[in-house]
Amino acid sequence: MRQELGEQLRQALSDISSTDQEIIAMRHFEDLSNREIAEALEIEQDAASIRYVRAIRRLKSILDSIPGFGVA
Amino acid sequence: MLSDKPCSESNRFDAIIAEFIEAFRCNEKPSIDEYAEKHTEFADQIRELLPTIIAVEQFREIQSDETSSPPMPESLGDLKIVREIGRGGMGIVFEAIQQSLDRRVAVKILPSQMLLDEKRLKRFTREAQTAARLHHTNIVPILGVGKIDGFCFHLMQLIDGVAVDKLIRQEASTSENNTSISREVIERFPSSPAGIARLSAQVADALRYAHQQGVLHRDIKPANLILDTEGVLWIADFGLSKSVESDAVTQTGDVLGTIRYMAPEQFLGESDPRSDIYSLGLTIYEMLTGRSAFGTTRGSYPFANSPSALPLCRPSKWNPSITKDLDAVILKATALDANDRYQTAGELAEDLQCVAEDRPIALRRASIVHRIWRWSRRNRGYSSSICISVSATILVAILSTLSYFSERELNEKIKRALANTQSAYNKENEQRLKAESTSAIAWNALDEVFLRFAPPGAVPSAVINDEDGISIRPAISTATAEVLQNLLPFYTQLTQGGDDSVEHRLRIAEAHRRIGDIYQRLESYDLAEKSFGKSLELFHGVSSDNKSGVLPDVPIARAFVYNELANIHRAQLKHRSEIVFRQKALDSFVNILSGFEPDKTELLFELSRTLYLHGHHDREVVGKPKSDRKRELLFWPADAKLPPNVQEQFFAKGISSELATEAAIQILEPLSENPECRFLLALCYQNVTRDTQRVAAGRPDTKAIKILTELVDEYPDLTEYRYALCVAWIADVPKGLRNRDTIKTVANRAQQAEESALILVQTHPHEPAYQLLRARIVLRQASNAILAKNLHESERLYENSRQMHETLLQRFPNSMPCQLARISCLAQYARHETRVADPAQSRELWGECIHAIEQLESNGGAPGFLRKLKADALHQVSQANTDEERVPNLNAKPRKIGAGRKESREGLKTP
Repeated sequence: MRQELGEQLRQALSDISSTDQEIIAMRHFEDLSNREIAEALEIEQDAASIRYVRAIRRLKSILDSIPGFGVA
Repeated sequence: MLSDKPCSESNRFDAIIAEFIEAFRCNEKPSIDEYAEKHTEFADQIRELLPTIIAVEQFREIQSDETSSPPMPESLGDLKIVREIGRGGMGIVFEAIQQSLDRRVAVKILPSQMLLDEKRLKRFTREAQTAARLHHTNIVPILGVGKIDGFCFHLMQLIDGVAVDKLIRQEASTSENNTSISREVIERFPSSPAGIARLSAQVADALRYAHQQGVLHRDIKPANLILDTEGVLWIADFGLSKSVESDAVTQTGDVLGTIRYMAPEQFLGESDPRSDIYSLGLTIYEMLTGRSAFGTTRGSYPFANSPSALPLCRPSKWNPSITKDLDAVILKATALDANDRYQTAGELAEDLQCVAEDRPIALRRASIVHRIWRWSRRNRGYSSSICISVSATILVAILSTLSYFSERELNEKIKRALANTQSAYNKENEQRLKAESTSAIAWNALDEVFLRFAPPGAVPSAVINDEDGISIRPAISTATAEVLQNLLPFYTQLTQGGDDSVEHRLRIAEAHRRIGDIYQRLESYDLAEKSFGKSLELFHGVSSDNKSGVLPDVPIARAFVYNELANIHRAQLKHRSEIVFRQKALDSFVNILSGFEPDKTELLFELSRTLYLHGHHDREVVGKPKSDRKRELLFWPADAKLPPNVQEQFFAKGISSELATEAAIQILEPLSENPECRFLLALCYQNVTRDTQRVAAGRPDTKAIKILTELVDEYPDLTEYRYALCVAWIADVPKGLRNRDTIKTVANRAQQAEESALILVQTHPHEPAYQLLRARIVLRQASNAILAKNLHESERLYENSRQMHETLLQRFPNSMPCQLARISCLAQYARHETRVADPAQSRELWGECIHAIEQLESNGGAPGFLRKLKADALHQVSQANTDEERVPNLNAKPRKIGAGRKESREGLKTP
């Protein structure tokens, strides 16, 4: 089950665009706060936040399309 | 849509998400419904997005589980994996055997399951390419790169060592890691700030090299530095390096590196060599203090909460043995604005090296010019035209790089430099060379080396006088002696030939003076005297030929030389000629004292020094009959014009040594802005602690200590000041001031001396003078213990001190100071035994003492002041013999010291 979730998510993550990958990775794997991400990307904090929400939303839509994925 | 909402709202929403993630990571199992109800305005988004966010967080957990126990391949082609060594953000490192070559290597494998995309692969390959270009003794070499069975890996040289983060956290010593390698490495990890500075200088130099090659590291941190069993520090993992020139992949705003060590600009996606300097600065900070520069929270870093990050607090706050210089170096390296940092790693390396060698760093060099003003002022203006010949160029080039090397290496280089300049000398036009080889540049370069190695030996303050009248000068190491010896030919070369200009003649006189100075420090007194004589002759010649111009520096220089001549005679216990030369030094001031006052401070300094030296006599002079002491008066030059207060009080009289110190104090007190003058003033105060009247008037010992403490605070790197302070701390408390508090005072002072001397020893582990100082401090503690009536403690301390003295003598068997110090220690220990009333022990110690003196005598090198001690020792031995015979008749003849008697072993046997 865990393994399956991992595989599905890895797949989903590799399907989103590299900008989306990047911001999700920064937020979740590199432990940066929104402010830090904004600084790193040289964008407004609001912009960073919005980009992140969008990336999550796209990831969700991909995960939703995977049959049997129990996120939603 | 969220993106259509006003900005402030998206910010608030973000805060909610952050809070949720935080709660999730803390295992608080936050409920989505709860969040939705709590933040009704975002309820929809919360319900929409949080499940996915949870999924990503769960994935993250799986990831970290996997990376913590990865499926370890048993082999990769030719490589047989042996064990995991460590892991970093970009991969896991294994030890492996490369079977075809039968060698141990390190393999770094990129975890295949981590977001393995084109970008990472590209970066991984590039890492190998850039790193493989680097060849430096402190950079872990890349041996190759490959991709087998879906594993991408690097081959690196295997370093038998331990990562610095483990050393800092002292993980290396935990039982699990307690291998012979880690034990060896731990021993190599320096405990002193200077040692760490020296180690860090290696890394800074490696960075300098890499930066020159156009390669940034971008992830300098303790975990990426490896200390090997030889004490070499390696930079591993040029893993995130990107070419300074070509930056295709990582330009997109990827935040690389470990956050905690990242420079502020790296958060903006910008890196340049100065970012590496910043990270190295933080790393050194951690190595020095054992703590993170920004507190201990994992992953916390300065920009998390405040846009304007706070500057670091000084490392010395956590580790008081860190000098101001090292503080300054670290703070400069870690300046928030890259423009305020060291601009190149080379500059950082240089300053770290300076700190390691206790030389002034570039940052502070300007502010301590005072230290050498006595030399530099005199050299100023001696040469107006500078033209450099080939030989002089070689000389300068080599000399100016010498400061990087240790004494041993230095000696090699000096020898080679000498050979080079001499062969150039032969080839070149002789006339031209002679003029040029005395150029100011060559002179200054030479002086730099000299000043670095000149031990404080010529300063009488550095002499420790013990209660037996033994004067112990600071010992100099053989390597230092050799450096000085090797400098001689250069100065000799400077004395040869040249034109007839005043500048040139003065320079030659200076060179002779310097030669004399070196011989004096080497205790070759005859040669020193000869050179000083030559120097005087030349100074005389210049000033008598030079009727028109005024040469204010010359009389001061002459006074200086006369004073040194007097010092030489004093060192040889020729007190009568000492006085003659001292008087001549004083006479040198005649014209300038009565005439103009060109540079008052310098003039008055040398005048006070003359008086101070006259006042600083050895003890045996004190008890002499008046008729003898009359011959020891100095007289003011007839038409001298002194500062008014001094003129009034002192002019009419012949100057006895007490008056001399008194007068010097009067002259120096108003000059306290100048650190050298203050230093001398402190020494004067110390001088009068034996003078009962003066002691009654104020606490000169306290004053001396106060001034010296201030000087050490201001110039923590000037070992001369620190050494003098330690000596002052262990000086006798003036007799007139002994009271109940004395015991406490002397104990405190000795304690402070011990701590301060430890700094000296740590920064100069090979300098016998400082080791000797420590042995003397223990000796002082031993006699303090007697004051406190703790004989057991004093016994232990005497034994300690004796062992320290013995060890020192074994290391420096030919060092006169070490021999004298041991004799002095034996005598004091023996006296203690007399107090304890153990005749056998006391006889043995006195016997050793006599033996040591006799050894010196048979080598013809026993200073006169030992004669009295030897007589005393012989008397004590015979006394001890008698005592032992008389032990049974304890009551028949009570001895002077009865207190210890009952406790003595012999005494207990008495029926």
